[in-house]
Amino acid sequence: MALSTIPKDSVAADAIDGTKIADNAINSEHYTDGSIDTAHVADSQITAAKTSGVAGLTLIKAITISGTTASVTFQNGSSDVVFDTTFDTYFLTGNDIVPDNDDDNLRISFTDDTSSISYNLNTSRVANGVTRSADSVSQSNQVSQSAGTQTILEGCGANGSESSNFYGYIFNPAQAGGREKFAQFQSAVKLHNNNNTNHNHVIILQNVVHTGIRFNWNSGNFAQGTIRLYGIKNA
Amino acid sequence: MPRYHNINGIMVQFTAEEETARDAEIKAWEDGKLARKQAEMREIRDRYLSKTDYLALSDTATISDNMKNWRQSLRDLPANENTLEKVQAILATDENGNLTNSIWTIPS
Repeated sequence: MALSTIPKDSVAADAIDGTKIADNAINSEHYTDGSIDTAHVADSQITAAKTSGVAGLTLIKAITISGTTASVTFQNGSSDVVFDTTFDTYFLTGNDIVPDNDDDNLRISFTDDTSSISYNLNTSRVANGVTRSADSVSQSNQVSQSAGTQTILEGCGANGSESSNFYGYIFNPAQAGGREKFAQFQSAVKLHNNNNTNHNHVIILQNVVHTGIRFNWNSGNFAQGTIRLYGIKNA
Repeated sequence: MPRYHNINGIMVQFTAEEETARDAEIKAWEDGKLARKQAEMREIRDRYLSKTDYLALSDTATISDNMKNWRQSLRDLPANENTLEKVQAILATDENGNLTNSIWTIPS
């Protein structure tokens, strides 16, 4: 006679592990609502690779900056960082960013290397900014093209409580061929002289597979801040 | 003091070549500081001239000598303020971002 249930004390601890369960042995029809809660899932058991087909936002890496840091880099392929076709869009945030030197510009650069890493890909930028001083507002527009770096935060302050913040999207960084690649950044800057600025930037990436993004300043190092890289899956 | 890249959360020291390249980049940036500040000063100067352009139209009432002299002093700023210290003094602000140098006070 077949057993309808197996008493728990008939199964020794650790008697069943992943090697005893066929890949298709358990699927969603074997679960009832509420039958699995967080107690059944050990830490680090669910990774980004297991969320294939699920739309959403995943924190890939947070880098909190300490002293003597000249650049912050998210580079595909190590320390759990992916910057490839794993995600459809990459999202970056920078919080409480402060340079060592007052009145410095934060810049980004990209690489397409996988071994000898050089962050010198050519990029084009269209930026328009609004600066608020105490008695007036001024607007500016900039177009630039450069090999190596593009500015995303201009005139960042390091005096007193001054700090700057940004967010940005990068679309299709790792798509080869003729797919469009754009980076869009929005920054809110507390200027070195206490004025406020806001800038929008659209950065057009080269038609190559991008494997990393780097942040650094025109001069000096980071004093503080946290930069986070997220991945967004469409589905 | 050596510089470091923070790559994926791991500190990686600059190579000697990277240190040399970075030193050169920073020197070029510092060498251009006066020109950048002068450009900022010109931009602000232009805004202040624009605010009083209507007084200098040929078909308006006579502009005062006081106003003429002030507008000329604004035009002379790039020629006269030719060191970083001088330009920074012209661009000085208070804690609210207000320009504090008397050159920015529009004559009544």
